[in-house]
Amino acid sequence: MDKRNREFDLLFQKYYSELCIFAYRYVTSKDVAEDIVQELFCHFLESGTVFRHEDGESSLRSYLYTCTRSRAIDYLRHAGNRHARLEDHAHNIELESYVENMLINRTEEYDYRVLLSEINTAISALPVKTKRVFLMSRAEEMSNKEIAISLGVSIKAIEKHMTKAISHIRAHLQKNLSIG
Amino acid sequence: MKATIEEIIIRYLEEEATLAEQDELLSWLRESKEHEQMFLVYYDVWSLPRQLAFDPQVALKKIYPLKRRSRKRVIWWTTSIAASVAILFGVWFLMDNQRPETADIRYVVQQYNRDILPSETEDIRLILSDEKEVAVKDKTETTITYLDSDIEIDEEQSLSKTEVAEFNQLITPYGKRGTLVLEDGTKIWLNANSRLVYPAHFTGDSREVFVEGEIYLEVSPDKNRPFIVWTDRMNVEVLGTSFAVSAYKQESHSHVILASGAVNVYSEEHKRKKQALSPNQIYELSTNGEAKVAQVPDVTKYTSWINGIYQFESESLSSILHLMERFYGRQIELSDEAGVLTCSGKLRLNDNFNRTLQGLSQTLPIHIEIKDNKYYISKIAE
Repeated sequence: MDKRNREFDLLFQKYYSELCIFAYRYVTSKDVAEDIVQELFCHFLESGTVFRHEDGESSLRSYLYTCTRSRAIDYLRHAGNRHARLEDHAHNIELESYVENMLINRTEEYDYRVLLSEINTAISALPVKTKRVFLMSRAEEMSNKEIAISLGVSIKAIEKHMTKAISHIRAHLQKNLSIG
Repeated sequence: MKATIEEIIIRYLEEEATLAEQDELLSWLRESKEHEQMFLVYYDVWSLPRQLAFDPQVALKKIYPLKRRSRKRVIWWTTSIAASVAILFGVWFLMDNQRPETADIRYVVQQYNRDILPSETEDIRLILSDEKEVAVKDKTETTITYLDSDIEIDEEQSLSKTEVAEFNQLITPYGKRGTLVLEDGTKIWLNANSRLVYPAHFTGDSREVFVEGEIYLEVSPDKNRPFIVWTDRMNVEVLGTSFAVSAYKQESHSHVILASGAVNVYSEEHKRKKQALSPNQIYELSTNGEAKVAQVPDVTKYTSWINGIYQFESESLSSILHLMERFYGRQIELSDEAGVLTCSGKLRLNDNFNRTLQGLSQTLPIHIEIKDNKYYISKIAE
């Protein structure tokens, strides 16, 4: 296998998931989000795009995010697809574009895998019930309402658990990775 | 009580923040770089676990044109992916340690898929490796048995197990069926136009096979090694049990029917929504991803093919012929009046298609016309 393919694979494995999450913000469909990101990488592969490291990791990242966004927006424009996320819930458009730009232009160099493993450690240290709620929400993709029903508690209680979980995990990251 | 900024960030991520809260968040973000940084950490904590839903390992396979087939590459590939994914999936195992190890067989399937289409072959074929393949000539059914030392075909022919690749395939064309007995004693019947990919030896802590088409299984119980049937769109996990899986690509529905024991079924789309089936239940998955479970009064209608017959009770001609179409790979054009005729009985699957049709026309008032390899069936006016 030639070198470029190997680099391509590493690049793909590094960015695929986060780009899907980002695309999902626009298209609110897992399948569509994946299609968009896969097509983007397919395009790189077919056109023989070479990514040079001297450009720096963060500019590569911004580039990938920007490409993903424009493809997602193209998809929404095409054949009158709706931007469901913005339509279903009242959003402050200014905040949306502010957050979007923050995500695209992140500069901090962070090792995704280290971060994930630290998050992992932090999750395992959560109180049992909080951990359960957090995993149901983030891993099993259940809505707060679904979790509330299945555990027989109020939605407010679920929100409290989520806040507690996320704030614990963040505190853990602060302490161990000195970020945020 | 006023929400703290932390609560607002989380509510925003969960799509639940009010407009007032969003305004507050925006001004807070604008205050300093530190605030932005803090928000991004919340974003990571919130989105990282969910990123596991987007599996780069699975996706990567779709990216490359399916050309690489040399064995060396496969090995390189799987190990390198496994290494990098192992770390990534740390959280996953913590969340759901029931998730089976899937990489290998599904990767192999991806490699094989374009090789030979069951619908385009004439003979039943047993593929043991890239170089070694056996065609079973002039038979409409065959039994292949994996023994410790060798592989037997219909107790007539014996093949050495050397030079057998890690994964083997059994392919049945239209009009023919196969039976496979695996090392662990599990017996699998393949209906027509089907492909089964399976390991020559079961290693590791689960037994996994992949199917396109229709199979019936009698799984040897083994508490420590669950048996998993993968298809394109749904998966079945079992410990020891008898059930049928139908997953033809060209059909609008795939299904699993349980004859005895217990299984868990889940679709590719909703891997975590496992559906437990009890005997005489059918799990049906449509191409639009909708799954439903129903009770079936009699499973033999779905499983009798393993004994070489199709058995039915007051079944409409249209559904009988649909099965025939699928089994023999013929095109049938059926008039509406003829389609609603009902019939009970058995059809022998070792008969050729014309003979089967003849049999039907003797019990039902139908007229059959053959034009350009297509069968036109209409009701005879009384």
